[in-house]
Amino acid sequence: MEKACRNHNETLMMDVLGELHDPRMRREWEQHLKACDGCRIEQARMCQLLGKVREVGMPPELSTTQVDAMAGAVGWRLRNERLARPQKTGWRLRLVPALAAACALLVVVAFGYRFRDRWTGPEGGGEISAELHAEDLDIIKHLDLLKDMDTIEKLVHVVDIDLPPNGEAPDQAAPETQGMHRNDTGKAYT
Amino acid sequence: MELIRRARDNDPWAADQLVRRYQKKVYGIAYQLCGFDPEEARDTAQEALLQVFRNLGQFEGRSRFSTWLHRIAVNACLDARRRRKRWFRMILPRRTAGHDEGDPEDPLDNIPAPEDGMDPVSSLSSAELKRDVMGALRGLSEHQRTVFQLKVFQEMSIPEIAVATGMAEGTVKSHLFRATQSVRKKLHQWVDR
Repeated sequence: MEKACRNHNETLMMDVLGELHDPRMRREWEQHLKACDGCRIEQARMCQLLGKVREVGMPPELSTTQVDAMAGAVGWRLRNERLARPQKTGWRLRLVPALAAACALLVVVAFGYRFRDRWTGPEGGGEISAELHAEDLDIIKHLDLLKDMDTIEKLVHVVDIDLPPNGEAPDQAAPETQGMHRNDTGKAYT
Repeated sequence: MELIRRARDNDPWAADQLVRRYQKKVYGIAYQLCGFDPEEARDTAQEALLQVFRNLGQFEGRSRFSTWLHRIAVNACLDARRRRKRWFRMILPRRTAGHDEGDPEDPLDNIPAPEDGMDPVSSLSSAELKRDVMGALRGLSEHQRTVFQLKVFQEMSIPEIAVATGMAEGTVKSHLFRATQSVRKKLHQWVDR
């Protein structure tokens, strides 16, 4: 049996696969086929072989039940996918959640502004804390005076204790009252 | 076209009609691209049809609907095949090392009982042919097999295969040539029978 020409192998393949589109190549190939028995036989064999391969690829017929089942399954899944997908709505309906979100944001901002002093530290205090600090500073400023007042009160207390019930002055002055003179009533020191 | 427009507008009746009209075609594509397994082909066809409906909004009517559907279905089947292959590799790494088509069953095991009037010899012969064709296809690389199946079963042109597979046209041509040579060698005994 004659063999196909090796140098025409690719052209033979392209021909049987229906890919020999170039008119010049096709014309040359057809002329060659007329003259070469080996290539002509191989071309016929290849066509037969591919026909058999296609035969195997023929799918078995689907039964009516299978056709219905497949159509039903596709329809069911399509419906489910559509239900799962978010619905497209008009701009008015889409505006409602946007407005609700904006209102919620406003409430949060207003709440935060109203109670901002609670969440800020002493450094960042507002007017109220400033007033409170002013009072404290006033006390600190007049602390010396308060000390003097305290001393005076202590002295008065000591003198009141030291005075005898008959009202006479002691012979020796108490250490706390040394260097001080009694006033006109004789009850207090100046 | 009216049916497509209505299906696009979520009309269930129109969708059902489109499925019934094209499901055999899509099933055929799935069967040829997914290892000639009818059950697998039915599942893959279902996925491919869903893919068609998911992409229905992108159909602009520039080409025929059947051409557009064919392209979507082929891509969906190729994706399903890749997924299946990955799955098989993951769960059966040793078994799939030498058989990347993932159809370990011998078709001779599944020969249906011959129906009345059917020649049992011819039934056996077609099962043997199926086994040999599947064996020849398994012997090809993944790219060669894909290209060969798209060419022989789907009758797609080289540029169309290049688009569907993402390969260059020259690469497709080279794979096709080698695949055809290999199949010819393995199936030579079936010629002139």
